Amino acid sequence: MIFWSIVPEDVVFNGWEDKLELQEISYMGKTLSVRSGMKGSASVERILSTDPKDFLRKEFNPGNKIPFLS
Amino acid sequence: MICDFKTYKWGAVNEVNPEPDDENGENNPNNDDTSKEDKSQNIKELGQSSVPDLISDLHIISVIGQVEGHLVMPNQNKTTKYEHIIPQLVAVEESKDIKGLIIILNTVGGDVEAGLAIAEMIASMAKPTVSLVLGGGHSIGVPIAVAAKHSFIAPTATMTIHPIRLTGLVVGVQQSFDYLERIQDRVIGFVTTHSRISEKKFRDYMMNTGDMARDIGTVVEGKDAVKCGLIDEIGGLSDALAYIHKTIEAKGVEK
Repeated sequence: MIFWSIVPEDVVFNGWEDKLELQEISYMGKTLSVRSGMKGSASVERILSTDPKDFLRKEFNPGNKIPFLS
Repeated sequence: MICDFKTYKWGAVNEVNPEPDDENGENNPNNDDTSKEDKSQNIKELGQSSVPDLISDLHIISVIGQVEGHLVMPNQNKTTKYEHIIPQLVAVEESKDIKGLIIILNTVGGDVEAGLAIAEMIASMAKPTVSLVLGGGHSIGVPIAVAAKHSFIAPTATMTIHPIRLTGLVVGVQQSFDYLERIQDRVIGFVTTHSRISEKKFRDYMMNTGDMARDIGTVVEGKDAVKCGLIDEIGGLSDALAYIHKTIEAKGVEK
């Protein structure tokens, strides 16, 4: 990756080694890759779909919180 | 652990349905059963019977923080994810309901190839597009800003133009430097073809030594960005909206 930004590299890549744990869930009939958070919720990391419609839906926007019942 | 949320009743639904009515039977009178099925599916999954009315015929993409590409950035970064933006642009271009696209930029830079991919996608769209730079449109934000058919910049906004250089992620050998030089040429090529700035001026800005305290490059303010031809006009939200509505109308008349 070629990185081009005004923010210093050490600020951006701080915590690079932290392991990112993603889970795949089925939500509203679609498969999402989510990052699980506090209190049984999860935030959308990305949607795994080939349907362009899905990318306009706000509940599938990256960062959107969804209730996650484990 | 895999959870199935199919039966979860969720209040929010999509704002825009990019391919309306095809499945709902309007185009196909024999499709009544599917239409009913769709409705009950909506009730089951979304908690309501129909998709809500369209509020606007514009779609807005805000490019904030870092442009995130092939690598997931650590948690403290706000990012714009290209794997979401690119299919979204496809949906916008395909949609019958969306007539125009507004790109709002307040970005600090990021992955060059992801940024260029977004910029190329925007530049190749047939629908009216307008960009508005607020706050900052730095580094890779520059090609994204000029990719739209018309660009605006707020008077207080700035754009930083500086050289692309090696990071710890790339091996520091001669070949890397050559490759970097070529990437830089691609970025410059894109910016100069999609704006009125000359290649010489852009390179001068990029290699300027007097402007930034600990770095080479130039911080271009709103007025200067218009003066050098990088951005088309000084303006704000109302200007961008007025421009896009005017373009949509003109397009409608043509048809």
